[in-house]
Amino acid sequence: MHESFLVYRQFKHLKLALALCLVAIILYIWHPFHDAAESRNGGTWLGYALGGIGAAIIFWLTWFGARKRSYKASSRLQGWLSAHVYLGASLIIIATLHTGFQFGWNVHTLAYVLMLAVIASGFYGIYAYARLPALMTANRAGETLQSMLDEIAALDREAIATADVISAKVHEITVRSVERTTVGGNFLTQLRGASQTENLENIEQQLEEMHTQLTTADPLASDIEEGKTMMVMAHQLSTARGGEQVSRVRQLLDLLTRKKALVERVRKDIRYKATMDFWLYIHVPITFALLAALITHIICVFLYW
Amino acid sequence: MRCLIRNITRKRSGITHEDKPFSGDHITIGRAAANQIFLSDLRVALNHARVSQTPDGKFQIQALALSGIRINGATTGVGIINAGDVISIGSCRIEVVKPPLEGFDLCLEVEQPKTGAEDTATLQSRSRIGLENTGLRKRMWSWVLAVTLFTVFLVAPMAGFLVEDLREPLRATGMLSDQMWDTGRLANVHQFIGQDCNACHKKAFVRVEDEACVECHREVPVHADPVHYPVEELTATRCGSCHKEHNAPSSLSRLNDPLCVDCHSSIRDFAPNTELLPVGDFEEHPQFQATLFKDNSAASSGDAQSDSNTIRVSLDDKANLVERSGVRFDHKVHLAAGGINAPAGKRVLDCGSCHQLEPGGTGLAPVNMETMCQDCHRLEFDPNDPARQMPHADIATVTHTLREYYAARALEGGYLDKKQWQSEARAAPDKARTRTDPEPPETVRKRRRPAQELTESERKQALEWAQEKFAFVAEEMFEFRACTTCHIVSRENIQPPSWTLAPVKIADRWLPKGLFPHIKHRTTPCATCHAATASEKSEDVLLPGIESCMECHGGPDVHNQLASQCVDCHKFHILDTHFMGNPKNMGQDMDKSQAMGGGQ
Repeated sequence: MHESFLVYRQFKHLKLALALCLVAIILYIWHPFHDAAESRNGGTWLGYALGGIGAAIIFWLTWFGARKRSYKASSRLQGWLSAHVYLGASLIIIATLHTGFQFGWNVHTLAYVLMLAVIASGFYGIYAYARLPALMTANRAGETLQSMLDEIAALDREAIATADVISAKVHEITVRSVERTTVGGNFLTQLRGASQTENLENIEQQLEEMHTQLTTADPLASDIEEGKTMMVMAHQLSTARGGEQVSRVRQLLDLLTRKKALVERVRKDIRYKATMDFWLYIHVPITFALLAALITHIICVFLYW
Repeated sequence: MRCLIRNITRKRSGITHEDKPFSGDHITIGRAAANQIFLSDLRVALNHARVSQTPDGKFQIQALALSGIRINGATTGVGIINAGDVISIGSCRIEVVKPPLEGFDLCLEVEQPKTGAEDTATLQSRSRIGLENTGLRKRMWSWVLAVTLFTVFLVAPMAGFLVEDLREPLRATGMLSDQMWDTGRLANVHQFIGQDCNACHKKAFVRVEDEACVECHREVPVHADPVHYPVEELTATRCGSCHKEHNAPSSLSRLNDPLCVDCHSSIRDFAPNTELLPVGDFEEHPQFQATLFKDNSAASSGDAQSDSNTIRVSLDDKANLVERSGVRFDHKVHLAAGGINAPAGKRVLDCGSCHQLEPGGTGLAPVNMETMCQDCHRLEFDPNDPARQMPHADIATVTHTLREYYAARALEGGYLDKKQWQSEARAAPDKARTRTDPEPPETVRKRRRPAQELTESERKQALEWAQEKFAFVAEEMFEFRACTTCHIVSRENIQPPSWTLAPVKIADRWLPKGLFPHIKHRTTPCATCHAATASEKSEDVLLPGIESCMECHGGPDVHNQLASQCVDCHKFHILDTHFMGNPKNMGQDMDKSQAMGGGQ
């Protein structure tokens, strides 16, 4: 049975992290120099100890980035992820106690803030990994992204073939609609997902022309002026003469409706995937910023000992 | 225009083409069979586009269908085409190439896909799916951020540290300098150092050395004599191990008890010959030991307390707890609730009548006889001349004053000596006088006009009286009245008689190893600690024991008392014969003392 990395081995790493935090908090409160006048800071022996543990954890957690690409290692990646999450979270306590709550406009606090940013993005990652896969599975309804794209292509082919039989104008509109339909896009478009939905229907000018061509005294003129593909199709349906033409237009309408729903699902899928992935674009670069700040922090406090 | 239309067909065996020359005004492209370029793809309109020549000889393609055309991937309605451009319509590809044959203005290579083969790729090829295809690179941003931070916060400040010429310009930027390494605010006393980190941080990866401190802090006393107590904990400890900077507003000094009790709880291990008692914490603080003058006649008045003329006696050792001040004083009498007799009637005294804070408020200023006692304890010596008083001075000065006074009175004449002392001498009521008051002769009693000369015999008679009168008054003053009220006077029976005063050795401070700031305790009545109203002898040491302190003060961890630490009462830098961080005072003497066998 599937076991979440969060509950890996009965919360083994959660317990480890909690124990670490507890020891740190007790030592901090007990602090052998329990002297009101003596400030708590990273320069006491407890400060050095907490700082050393914190730095070791950060370096080790960063190593996870390399470890997850390695398929040779004997230990389970899930265990590593579990430890990564819980030990990463424990840094909030350990590093905060290491600071002794002394903050300032300096590289030391910068390292601390970057660390919190990395942890915060990591927390988002946990949320995303816990919630989005289920939503993605539900949205895909047993299909894959590729199969949905294949299906859209098939619908496009069929729609163009059908439109071709109806009239040259309908064919043009349909082809244009097909060619202007895109999914995905830049970083923000992928994250927002539905932003380009109008592309399917945003062919107003051409529809105006078609409107004049199709009928002169049109009871549905107001609808058609809104310029929606579906409206034009419906209008076609109402004015079409002959049962064959009616069934063709109905078929095209049906094809376009199915395609539209499918495109929406693809966009949603892309949005879910982007939402699940984008935090890594923060988590990873800031981790390296943190490493730079941390190494600087360690070097400079000992350079100016 | 003349155009070569070349239809390309890709096969497994290779690429074949079929050329179709064309000449006319324009080339039409579409799915209708009548078009010059016939494309069978369903997405192509019947009449999709038209290529024509512009007046200036360029070739232009214009879309006739709503779906438009794509030139080099960009969708458009109309555009100029040149050799190398690729026109896409549906899934068909038309490449503009340089005419391979003479006599053509233009060559269009037309390539149509096999039915359905590329259709599935079209939506995908138009779309960017996945964040990894958006041009954002995690690795690139990681490098950019890391390198930027290293440059700003490590490399630039390091350059400033290593190259002195760069230091100030970099500091002026704020961001690119060691100001970003500042771990916290400096203590107020060090604020003047400003941004000059290297005032203290002189060597890389070396903790701030004492030399940096003593550049300013010259002559900071050591804790204990390094010659007699060459304790490594004292001689090898850096300034910085107790004085932690960059922690303002916290104290610059380590104040915690372990600093002291680490050694003092087992002080004999560090200094086997010390007289100090071990102390672990406040609750175990030994009873105070008063520093008292030894019973040593060699000491003279006004001598300061020193190791050689004092002993330390526990307040619990009542038998030896004797103040040998050489002065008589009865606190009980003076502090009588109803007051004491004063020239203007009863006067009620309190502690503050005599004991006032010295400037700074730690100790008490010395009692001043002239301003505090002499109102009542007047030093008049002749009832006939009550306005005249002896100086409060040493015996020689006093005897000279008396001798001169009576010689002058005798020679001036008119000294009637009618009045006697109104009161009995209380200082020594039972003691017998060795002299009697000499009757003044006629020469002394007779008033003389100014400038009236005395005969030789009259002079001699007058001065003989003056000498006797002096001896009588001096004995009265030294042994029965004024002086002996407070001082211990002894007489040598020689001629002329001579007196000596026991040396006055009033302890400046009984507890010189601690600091008791009286001013901080001024809300507490003196009597809370000092049992003066019951003290009849000046030998009493009117000090409260440590238990009195413990009524209000507790150790550093108490919550229902005033939490107190060693340094609240004891200073660390106390021995001002040697100075901290000064090799001359520390190292060399150390070497010598070690050569002499440990200096114990």
